[in-house]
Amino acid sequence: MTDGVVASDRAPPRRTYPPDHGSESTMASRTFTDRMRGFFDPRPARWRTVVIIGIVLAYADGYLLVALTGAVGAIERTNHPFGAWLEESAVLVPLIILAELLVLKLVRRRSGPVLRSWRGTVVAGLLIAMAASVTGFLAITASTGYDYSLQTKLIVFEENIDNVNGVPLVPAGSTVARGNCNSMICNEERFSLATDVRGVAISAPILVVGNIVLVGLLLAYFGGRLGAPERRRTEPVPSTEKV
Amino acid sequence: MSELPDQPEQAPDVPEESQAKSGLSRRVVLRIGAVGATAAAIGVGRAMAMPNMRQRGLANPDGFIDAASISLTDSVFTEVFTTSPLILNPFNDALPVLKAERPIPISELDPPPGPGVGQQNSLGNETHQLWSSDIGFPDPLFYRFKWEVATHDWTSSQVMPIDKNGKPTQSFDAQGNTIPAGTVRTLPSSVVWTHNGTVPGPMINAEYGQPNLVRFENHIHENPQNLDSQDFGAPDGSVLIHLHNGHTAPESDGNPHYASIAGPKNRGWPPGTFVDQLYLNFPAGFDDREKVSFWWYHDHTKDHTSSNVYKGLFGVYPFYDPTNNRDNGDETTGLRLPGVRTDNGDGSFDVEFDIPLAFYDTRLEDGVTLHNDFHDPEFPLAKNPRTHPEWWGQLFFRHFPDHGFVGDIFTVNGKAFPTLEVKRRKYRFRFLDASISRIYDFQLMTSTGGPKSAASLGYGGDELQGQYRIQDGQQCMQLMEIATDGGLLPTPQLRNNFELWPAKRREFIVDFTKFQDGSPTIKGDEIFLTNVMKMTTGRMWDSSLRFSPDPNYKIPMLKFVIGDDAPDNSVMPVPGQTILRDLPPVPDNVDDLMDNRLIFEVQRGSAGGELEWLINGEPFDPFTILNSLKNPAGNTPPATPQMNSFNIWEIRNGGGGWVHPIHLHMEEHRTLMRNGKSILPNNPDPGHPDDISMEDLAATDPSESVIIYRGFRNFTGPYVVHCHNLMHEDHAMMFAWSIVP
Repeated sequence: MTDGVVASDRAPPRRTYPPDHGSESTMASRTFTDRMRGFFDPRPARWRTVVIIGIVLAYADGYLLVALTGAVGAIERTNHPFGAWLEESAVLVPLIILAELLVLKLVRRRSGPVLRSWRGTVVAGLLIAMAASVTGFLAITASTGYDYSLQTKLIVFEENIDNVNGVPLVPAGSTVARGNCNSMICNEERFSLATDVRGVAISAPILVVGNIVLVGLLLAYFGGRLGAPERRRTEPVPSTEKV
Repeated sequence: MSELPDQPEQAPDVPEESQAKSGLSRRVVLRIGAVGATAAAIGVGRAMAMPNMRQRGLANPDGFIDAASISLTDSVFTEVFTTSPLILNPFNDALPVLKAERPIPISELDPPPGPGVGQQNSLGNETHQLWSSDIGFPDPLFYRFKWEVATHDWTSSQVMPIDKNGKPTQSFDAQGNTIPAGTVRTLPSSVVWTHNGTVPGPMINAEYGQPNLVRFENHIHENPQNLDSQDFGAPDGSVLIHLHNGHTAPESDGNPHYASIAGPKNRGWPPGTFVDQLYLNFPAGFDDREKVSFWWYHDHTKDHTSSNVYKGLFGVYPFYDPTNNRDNGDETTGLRLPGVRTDNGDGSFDVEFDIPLAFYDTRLEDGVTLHNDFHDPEFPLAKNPRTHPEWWGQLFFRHFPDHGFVGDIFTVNGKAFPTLEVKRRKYRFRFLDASISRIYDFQLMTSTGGPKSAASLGYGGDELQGQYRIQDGQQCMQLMEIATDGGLLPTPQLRNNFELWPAKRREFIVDFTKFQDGSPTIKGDEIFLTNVMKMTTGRMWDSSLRFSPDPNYKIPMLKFVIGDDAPDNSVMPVPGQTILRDLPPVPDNVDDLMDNRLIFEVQRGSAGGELEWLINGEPFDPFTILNSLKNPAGNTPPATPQMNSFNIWEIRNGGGGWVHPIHLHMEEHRTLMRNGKSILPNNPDPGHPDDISMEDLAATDPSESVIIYRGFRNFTGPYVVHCHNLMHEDHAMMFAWSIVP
């Protein structure tokens, strides 16, 4: 049994901590600045850890986002994917850090500002990975939605060229398999939507697995902990939260 | 800042020294493990992925993303095609050796063709820009090519239906009833669209100085046998035939830019119409140095070129040059290239020992593969998406996904695994890749064991493509290359193998009297024309002799059987000594033109499927002339060259792991640079040795660029440039340009 397990087994019960995000009245009594300070308190992690994880996960998720755009996204957005990756991932960095902070806040509420067990660290890491995955997934979904809007415009443009001489490609009232979709525009839009949705669906497990692996690797780089080394934690560290 | 101590009140129970000691150890292990795992992942990834990425042009920052896009594309677009039944007795059908089509009297054409206003088509809205008499040429020879529905047999052999693992599987009859696995079947005839009922279409042997006029009549709608045209081919039966790469006026060129804005004002010529396409058969600018030697004709209907060509609408148009009897099909005169000419007395002629070979890959319906395509609404009778067991054994085609279409049965002149008995003498072969997307790499091989089916060798999936292999095949002969798509080479090149890209033509002399080691052939010897390029999708090769060859991938496509001796008056040209042609010169001021060149970048885009291919970021728009990307002079000139001018164009392959054969209509070009390196005067890229001569198609590997020099002479009006992966062309990889007075 590792010392971590021992520490975990002996971790103080949750009730020993003051309710740092307690009742409505407590919340109401805190100033906005205090609440912001509380929110941006990275404990039980360190800012350095939070930022590094945020950057790595943002660029990993951004990679998938841009790759997916290249695979099924709108034509207008598929040029120069490397530059797009750098730019769009940069936008993701603060979003992922915010997601991390939310997770850390939750962890802090449940386990206190210090994680003494490896299980707690693993759980916190998994939660961070999941939160980043949700953020990445939302970003991919938004990106795909934008792609779809661009794609539909292009489809209409192309069909207008085809029909410019007044010859409809599909006779009115044609019986077709896909419900009442009896035009090329409608059909292509449905194909486009189905493809986009399939792309988003495929990206979800890739995001989750990728983020878990990366967080695991980063935690290993950090020596298996989110916070500061033990000797630093033994020194008093001012809290940003009021109770 | 905080009144709350950040440490729990309880001290750790584990002694600090012990914890620190064991924790340090654990942390070091974790860190080493993380660093090691990362290093290993990077190392393995580089070792495994980088060679492939380099080959596919992806070893660059954008390629780093594109590689993932391609993998995702594979996941999103399910590329499911049929597995054709296995042909059980290959190499029993004779190679169809095409005979020249015979011209007809003008009196058989009603109304008669002519130079008059409105006389160029059945709609009465176009006139020939130039008539033969305008340039002092004789009257044209007249031909009538009817586009009609017919049937075609790819083989006379019986077949064994197999599944994707190569195992016997069920098949179906014409009513869709199931026939048990393991039952040997006779293939039903495939329904095809033809010129005068044949695939390939009739061959016209053309000659410089003798114009030909072909009246193309659309009879697709008549279909007297009430054949089922299935779910591909232009849904309204339109056809548009392009003579590739005819130096012709737009009204006779058969391109979708012209067809959209003039003439039929449609994707092509609809059923019930006709068009007279006049091929004046003079070299560009009346310059003898511009003469070509092998054209072909094929469908070019907007958005449906691939399916119409695949349905059978293509044919060959060999060219002969009677000037000084230089290359007139008579091996006793001029360059003395192989050929014994027989004049038919009506202006047409045949040339023995001079054989066009049109390569085309196909797939046959297995009855269990789902038909699911963007174009389904255009074929309401098919009621897709669904399977079509009733079409078992007939042609199978799908546009979607539009990466490209590759077949698993390779045919030559419309037959799978044909055999040609050759005399012990020299032959001239004119190779044409009429495939939708497939690139071939040919070698002449012998095999002790003979062809074995890929299924019997344990292959499955995409490895079944080609059906048969000669795994013990050894190269036995070389080929003397004499011509490309732009005509004769300046001097011949001795080749061990050669690539043939879609729409490319290459001509070779093969001496069947001896093997490459000098030993003589004897009657009954068998030599296989073998494809060694594995290309399992329409993107690009998986393996080729240029990149990571697969020694087990040797697909015999045509068997030559050595026959009797025969007289041979031809002379094998000698590389570096025999001058086959003079090239038109590149002007001295070419460097001055370079900065203001027109730049066109072909790219892969996506619209969820249909509009996946673009040039300069734009899908094909026949009503808008494309502008160049910004050139080094800072300009974005439109593609509107003046008549009788010359210009420099650059074609860039935007990369992403795709190859693109880019075809420029109307005149051949000379390649000046490839990938930024000058190839002049005789320094071609090893992968593209033909760059030293004239071409009408720029073969671009991933991320390559070519800079070409070409003219725009004799005619005005609308033309196109497009990718000749016909699936790419159909999905917008084409642009409109126009010659202005």
